[in-house]
This record gives sequence, structure tokens and C-alpha cells, in this order.
Amino acid sequence: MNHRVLPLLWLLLAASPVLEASQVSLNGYYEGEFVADKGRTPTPWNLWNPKNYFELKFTIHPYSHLEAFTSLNLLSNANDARLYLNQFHLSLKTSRSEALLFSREDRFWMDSPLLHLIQTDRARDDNWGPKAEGFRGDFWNLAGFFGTGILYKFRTFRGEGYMARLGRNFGPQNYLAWVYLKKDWHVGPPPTYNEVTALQGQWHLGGATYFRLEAARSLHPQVRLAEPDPAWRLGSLDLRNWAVEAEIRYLTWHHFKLAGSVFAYGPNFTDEFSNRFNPSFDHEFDRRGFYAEAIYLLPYRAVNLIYKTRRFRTRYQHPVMLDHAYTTWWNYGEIYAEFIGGVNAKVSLDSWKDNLGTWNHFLFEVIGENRAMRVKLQYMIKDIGVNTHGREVEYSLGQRHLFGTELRVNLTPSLQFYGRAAWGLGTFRTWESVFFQLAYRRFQNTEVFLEYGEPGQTDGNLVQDWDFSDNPYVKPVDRLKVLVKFWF
Amino acid sequence: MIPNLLMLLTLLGAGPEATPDGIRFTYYDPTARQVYLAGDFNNWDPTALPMQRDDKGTWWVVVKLSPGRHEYKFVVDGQWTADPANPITAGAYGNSVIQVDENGNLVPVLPTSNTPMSSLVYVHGNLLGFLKTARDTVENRFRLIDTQADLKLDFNVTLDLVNLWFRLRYNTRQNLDTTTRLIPVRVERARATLGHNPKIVTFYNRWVYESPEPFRLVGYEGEFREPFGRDEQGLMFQAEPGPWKATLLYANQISTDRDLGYLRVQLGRRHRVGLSVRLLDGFNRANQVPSPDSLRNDSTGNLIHFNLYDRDWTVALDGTLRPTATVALTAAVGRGIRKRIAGESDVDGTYSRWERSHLSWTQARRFRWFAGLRWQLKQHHVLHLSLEQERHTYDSLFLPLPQRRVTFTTWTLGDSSDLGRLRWSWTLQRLTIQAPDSLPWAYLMAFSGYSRVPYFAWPLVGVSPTHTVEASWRWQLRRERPGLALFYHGGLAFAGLRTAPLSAVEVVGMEGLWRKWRLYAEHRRFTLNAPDLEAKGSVGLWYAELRYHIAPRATLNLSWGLRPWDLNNEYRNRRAFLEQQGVTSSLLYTNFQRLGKAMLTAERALADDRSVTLWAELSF
Repeated sequence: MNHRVLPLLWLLLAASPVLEASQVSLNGYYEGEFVADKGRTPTPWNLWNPKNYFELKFTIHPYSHLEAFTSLNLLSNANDARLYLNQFHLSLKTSRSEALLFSREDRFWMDSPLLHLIQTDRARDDNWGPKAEGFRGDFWNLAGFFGTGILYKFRTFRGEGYMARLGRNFGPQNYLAWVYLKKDWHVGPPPTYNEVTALQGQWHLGGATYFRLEAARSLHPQVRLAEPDPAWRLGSLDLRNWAVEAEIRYLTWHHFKLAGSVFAYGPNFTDEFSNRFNPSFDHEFDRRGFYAEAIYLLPYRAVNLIYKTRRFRTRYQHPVMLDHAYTTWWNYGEIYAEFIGGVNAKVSLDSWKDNLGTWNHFLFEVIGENRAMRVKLQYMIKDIGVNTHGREVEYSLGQRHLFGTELRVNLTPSLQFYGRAAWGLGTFRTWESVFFQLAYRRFQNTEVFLEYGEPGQTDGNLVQDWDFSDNPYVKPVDRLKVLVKFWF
Repeated sequence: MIPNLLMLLTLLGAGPEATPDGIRFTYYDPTARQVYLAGDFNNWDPTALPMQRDDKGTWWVVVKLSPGRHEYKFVVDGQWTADPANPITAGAYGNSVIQVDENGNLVPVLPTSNTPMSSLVYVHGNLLGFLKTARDTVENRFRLIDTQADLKLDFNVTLDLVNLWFRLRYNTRQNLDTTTRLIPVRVERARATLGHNPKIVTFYNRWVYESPEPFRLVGYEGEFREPFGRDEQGLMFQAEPGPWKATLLYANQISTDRDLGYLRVQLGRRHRVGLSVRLLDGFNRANQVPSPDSLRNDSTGNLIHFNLYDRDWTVALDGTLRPTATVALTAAVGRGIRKRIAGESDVDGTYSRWERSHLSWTQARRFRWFAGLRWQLKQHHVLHLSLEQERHTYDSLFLPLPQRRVTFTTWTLGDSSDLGRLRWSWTLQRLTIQAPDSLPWAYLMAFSGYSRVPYFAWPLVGVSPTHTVEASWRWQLRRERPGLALFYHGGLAFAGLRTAPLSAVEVVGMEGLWRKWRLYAEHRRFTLNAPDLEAKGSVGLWYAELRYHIAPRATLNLSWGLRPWDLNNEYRNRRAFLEQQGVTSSLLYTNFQRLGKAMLTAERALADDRSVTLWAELSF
């Protein structure tokens, strides 16, 4: 190559970003499900509602820095067959920024380490999958600044969302950031919006110790839970619609690791983008308290001692504000140990106390594992000491003993057996659940499952799943299911 | 795109390259023991052409190839391998492809695939993402009012004589199922082609043929695609033996089973004569325009819907003479017969009153003739003159109603010139409508054809109930300089050749280009001067757009104001809306007044659109 060609080459490189073939990658996924239920009427073990689900994904890179993606779904079941849009985005990415237009994707993650102001399942307009559509832009490392902006429309109701975060790094581990959130909707008399402004920061205090602070203020014209309250005044400042939390994590001292935080969530602080401060979900209104955590690593032993506590004072009992305040106190203690031979065990005690009563739970768990199998045993006593004397007690099923076992066995390199069984023994009845699965994985991209039972009863960590521990009417379901999965 | 890549690879010394002794093929693999070259030039013999290895592990051979397209592969230690340095592959086996010209140089080859999965499947499309914001006048704050994503995915599969093409399409705003919140994806269009000459084409909702008729007297313009719906399918046969060219096309509207047949036979290249025949046959139900013998409304004032049976024959003969390279004389004449039988039905299109109303059936005949002259004075200067007349005659089959006739006569004179940086054109058109005084103006609007009556001339239709005369003048002027273009275009409508303009629309604007940026701005003014209609006023609209070319076919756009294609949609919606405005003779004159005022009010509403829209578009 001579000196005349080189400049021409660089000219080509500089002038045309289209120096790669417009590649379109196709990927897909198929799932077929066939179910037979013993309880089906009029024909027991009737094979009903076979489902075929096919997903086709197109990833297009027509030019450097540009990417387009769309995913189409084909679903056929007993009702009909549909080909419909799953997701779409069009993005432009550089080394310090990214901008994209998206539809039906979950693009709403935004850091809020203490208050969790943004939880994506609330922001994405979820209705059997995200339905929102809009624009997101991010930039980072621009003179130490970073930022995010999201502008989108809800599709299950008439409304819009606006989210922004702008901050600056001070060194590799310190930052200060401002967050702005707004949700607009068109239902009901105006004004109809919820607006949150927050300030958040992190400082590294050395070693593994960080200090974090987050303070937020909300505006929600349609929410007025509390009247002016001296408990929420700071001088002339009305803090009813404020939330503040400060945390230190972890202070280490010998083999101790300590963490703690203090928090205050005002009675009128509302954030529709989160579950915590949302009146339709966790409604954590009017709380002032602290959280502490201590972990002790026993020297020369694979044993951890953990203690956690959370205590706060509040007047809110969903959905109203009481005339008097009460205290909620949660304590948790755990001993965790690992033994030689792939065995580990855990013993824990959990206590919750509020104005409605006290509930204590005990859990013992042991897990053994080797290359061929994995076994888990659980024993739990829930609501210790709550004696119904043969009758139902409000807010509790009474003391109950729960046993659970989980087994996974590699029968061959391609064939695996998995099973779960659980029993509940209460003051006035017993209940049980079983689930078995045979999995065949012969090829790298294919899986076939044969299942018996209802997996949803104990999939939340066996007897700790509320579907089992708080439902004495659970019973095994006689259901056979064949599931085929395939990727390409 | 791909030619650039091929050139680049050639410059880099990778991939095939032309040398004085032939085409040099190279394959880099220092671990291979033996590499051969095989292709259609040596009958795919896997051992006939051994390649030599240099010190760096690159295998090479030089082969003299005949001009044309060649497919080849390397045989590397017994394994057939496509050339990794050549992205162009073809055929079921994914062979590498090159094309050699008569001088022994390499010519760029268009790829038949852009997917790693198959050398046969080429996927391309258009993606559009869209955000629109505007100020909420109730709460006085800026809000995001609309978003949209529109995707078209085209699949093209080529197998020698067969080509299959289909398009998947969805739009997240227009196609949203409000019940399930799902957005269905549909096969919007499809086409399959067999052969080259002759060739057979089957199609679904795709315009596969553009008639070369000089004045489109007969034409085939995808009648069933717009505005009736998107469910047209058909078959076309084309052949070009020597100086002849024949096209036979059949199209069917799926939902109503209407059929259209079109035949065109053409002889000659430079001097040309052509014959075009079209037959339209079928049943078109629930048309919203009433037949002229019925001016009845239902009790709520809505139009009565009519079911129409059409049989429409049109024949046209055209000829073109080119005495010199820059002068062309074209003439065409056509005649059409249209039989239309109309019957009333209820507003919702059911047939419950069909039998009771059969006595009102009418028959319509249509006669149309056209004569035009197109004179190309210089290379870029064209003068055209045409006269066209269309006559609709209505008879009632059973009732003793008088025969009625509507006649549209159009004179058109126009001139256009392209002088490179300066382009201009003007058209003067005079349309005369002769109709009975009781004929509803909505009927005139629909049957006169939207192309005959431009938007700014609507108030003219029916100004005089018995004899409507209008003329319109349109012009276009464009001046270009490097990086900047200025334009001015518009139209005037006259109620008579010696009267002042009744209405006018003017657009003035600029377009600037600087590197990858484009700035476009226009000001559009609509003026109505109709004291008889008690409508007088002027409204201006602004529109500006900033565009950034991220890549050759990828743009990011930011606009302010109502976008031009939204404006066209708005006009289409207005036409449909205005057709629904009362048709009784007693309201005739009042409706003309309302029309004028409605147009001004609607224009003012558009002018208030201060939305800011961000959208990105990508074609691949």
C-alpha cells in the first residue's frame, strides 16, 4: 500500500460509517406446553389448552454505534393464535452516551440506594409485561458529570412519565446527584400529577465504609393523609411530604461488621414510581426510626452470626392515620454455619411486633450438596405461641409447624430429577404440597421437562413461601405437564 | 455500502483483486496443508486449481476469468469454505460471488443476504420512533402527548428465477388493541415473482405495476388499496418480445370480491403507440355518497348509505412521437362506460330495507374523453395542454324520473422548467361543472375526484347552484445554491376568470444543509376572500425542522409545528368530515357558508399547533 492509498483509505474510514455489512441477526425461542389435569371435567386427565409460544428477535446493526432491536411473539393456545409485538428499541451509543427510543421495554432503572424511589415494575406500566413507550438518554464521564433522562407515555391509561438524574462524581467512589420524577395522568379533575425531587450522595470513608444520604420531597395534590403535625415540623419547614434516610455501611471492627441507618418518611410523601411510598402497594407512610445490622464472623470457623433490627414509630395503619402513634419493632437473628462435605445449616429467629400483636418465627434449615445431588431440609415454626384454642384468631392462623424438603439429583449428565414436598401442621388442620420434575437436557439449546404437581405453592424457598405457610387449604394438584424449550 | 466495503477490502489487500494477469484470490490460513480454488469457471473441480502459500500463511492464485458473474469457494484441507474476506454470497450453498467487467476489473455486486443465517434471505426495513410534546392549555404546562413506533420489516428471498418478498408491519399507536393492549403484527404486503421475461407476479396489497400511459387516462393505480382498504390481491403477466411490451393484470378486492382487469399493449421505443383497456366489476356496499335521485336523510340527519354495483369499461389509445431527442409530442384519447346500480340500505350498512327500496335503483353511465399535448421544448423545459370531459348520466330503472346529467370539463395549461439551480413551474386549470340545481355538493366533491379540486378551491364547488365555474392557478419556484435552497409555491382559486381570487394558499420556505445537519423552515398562509359565503380571513402556519444525519439512512429529527404529512392527513380527514355535512337542498347554500367558515376555523386550529416532535428514522 503506498502513500497515495493510505489517505484515501483514511478518507473512506472517516467519511463513511457504513463500513460493515448491514447485519441482521435472528434469534428465537420456542416453548410448547401440554397439560393434563386429573380434576378436569367432564373428562379427567383431559389434555387441555396446549400452548405454543414462539419468539423471534431481530437485532440490526446497520451502521456503527446504531442498533435496532425488535422482538415478535407468536402465541397460540386454546383461545386463538396471535402474532404481536413484544419489544422494540432504536439506540445510538457512543463511548460516553447512549440514547434510545423504546417501546414495551423495561428501561427505567435508576439508582436510588436508600429510598428506592424508582422500582421498575411501577414505572414500566406493567400489564403482563411492560407497555410504556418513550425515550431514554444517558451520559457519563463528561467532565465528571453523569446523567439520565427518561420521557415516556403510559399505554394502559392516559398518562406520561418524566424521570431525570443528574450528578457529579468526586473521585471514584463519591458522588452527589439530583433526581426528578414526575407522573402525569388525565383521569379525574386536574391537577393530576405526582412529582418527586430528591438529592442523594455517597461518600467513601475509607476501607469498606460508606456514608449515604438521600432526601426527597414530593408533590401530590390529591393525597392529603395528615393534617399539620408538630412532629413533622422543623422550625418553619413542614416535612409531611418529605422522606429522608441516612446510612453508614459497613463499619468493621475486628470480626464485626456493622451497618445502620436512620429514616423519616413523612405521612404525605408519595411516590407513584415506587412500591414503598405508593398508596396502592406498600404504603410506607409516616415512619421515623432506625435500622441496624451486625454480622460477626467467628474466627477460624465458617460460622456467621447475624443480627438485624428495625424500629419505627408511626400513626399510619392502612388506609388511615390513627389518633395515636405506635411502635413497630422487627428483630432478626441468625446463625449460619458451613461444614466439611458440602453441608451448611442455618438457624434463625424472626420477631415482629406492632400494635396488632407480636409474631415470632423460628427456622431451621440444612443443605447438603455434592456433584450428584443436592438436598435441602427445612423446619419452621410460624407464629410461635399464638394459640387459637380451636378457633381462628384475627391476623394469624395460629402457631403452625412446617416441614419441607427439596431434592435435586443428576441421574445422568443429561437427565436430572427435581422434587419438593412440604407439610403443614396447624392448630386445626394439616396441609401438604408436592412438586416433581424430570428434566432432559441433551443438547445445549434444548430442554424437555416432565412435571407433576403445582410448582407455585412452594417456589418461594419451600416452607417460607407465603402461598404455603399462610394457606392451610393447600393440597397437591394432580397435574401432569410436558414442557419443551428450544433456543436458536 | 457494500461496494465501499469491497473496495476497502481490495485496498487492504484482502479479498479478490484485479491484476493485469487476472483475478488474484487469497485465503489466509497458516495452519492449512493444502488449499484449492473451485468455482463455476472450472466446473467446481475441488482439486483443479491449487493455491500457493507465501511466508505469512496467505494462500493465493491468479485466474483469468471471463467477463460476468462468477461464484467460487475455497477447498481447505477438503472442506468447502466461502471466502471470509468477501461478504457477498449467493445461492443455496452460500458461494462467494464476484463480477468481472470486460476490462478484467472487479465490479461491485449487490448482496442477496445480510443475515448470517442464510445466504438467501435479505432483511431490510424502516424503523420510526416518535415523541410529540405540546403545551397543555388547561394546566398551562408542557406535556408529552404522543409516542409512536412504526416498524416495517421486509424479507427478500431470491432463488434464481423465483423471488419472494413480504413485509411485516406494526404501528404501536394505530394498531393497539385496546382490549388486550397487544399490538398485532400483520403481513402488510407480499409479492412473488417467477421469471424475468416473460414474468409472472402474484401480489398482495402491493403496487407492482406503474402504467407507462402518458396521461393515465385509463391506468391502474391500485384502486383497492386506497381509500377502500388494504386487501387487494392479484396476478400479473408481463412480456417484452422485441419492440412489443404487453402487460395483463388481474386484481381482486378480498373483502367485497370486486375484480379489476387491465391490459396494456405497447409497440415501439422511441416512437410509441399504446392501447390500454380496463374493466372494473363488482359489488361495493355501504358507500356513503347517495345516489343523485335520493336526497333523503334519516331522522337524525345522517346520510343514507347506498350499495353500489359497478361495471366500468374504459379504453384508451395513446401515441408519442419524438422528432428530436428533446422534443416529444404525445396525444391520447379514451372512452369509458360505467354502469352503476344503487340501492338504499340502513345507516349501518345492513340490507333490511334493500327489498323495499329496490324501486329507487338507478343506472349511471359515464363517458370520458381526454386530449392532451405535451411539448418538450428543450431538454428541461416542458409545455403541456389538455382538455378533458367527463359526463355522468343517471336513469332510474323503475321510476319515471327525468334523466339527469353532470358534466365536468377541465382545461389545463402548464409549463415547467429545470435550469439546474432554478426550477419553476405553473399550471392554469379551469374546471366547469354543469349539474342540476338539486345535486348535493357532497356528491360533486366525491365524484369530481380530489385531484381535480385542490384543497384551497373547495369553497368554489357549488358557489352557483346551477353552473359552477372555477379556475385555479398553481405555481412552484425553487432557487438552489450550495447548501441553501429557497422555494415558493402555492395556488389561487377563482370563481370566474375575470373575478378576484376567492382563496389562496402560499408556502414560502428555505432548506439549508451544513455537513450532516439540515434545517428546513416554511411558512404557509391560507387566505379566503368570499364575502358571499361570509368567510374572509387569512391564517398562517409555521413549521421548522432540524435534522441530523447520523448515518446515510439514519436521521434524528426535531420539529416544531404541524408536520407536512400530518397536514395531508388532516385534509383527508376533513374531506371525510365535510362529506357528512347535510345534503338536503334546503341546507345547500347554508352549507357553503359553513364550509368557508369551517375551513378558516380549521386552519386556525392547525396554526395553534405548537407541538415539538422528536423522531428518529432508520432504513437498512
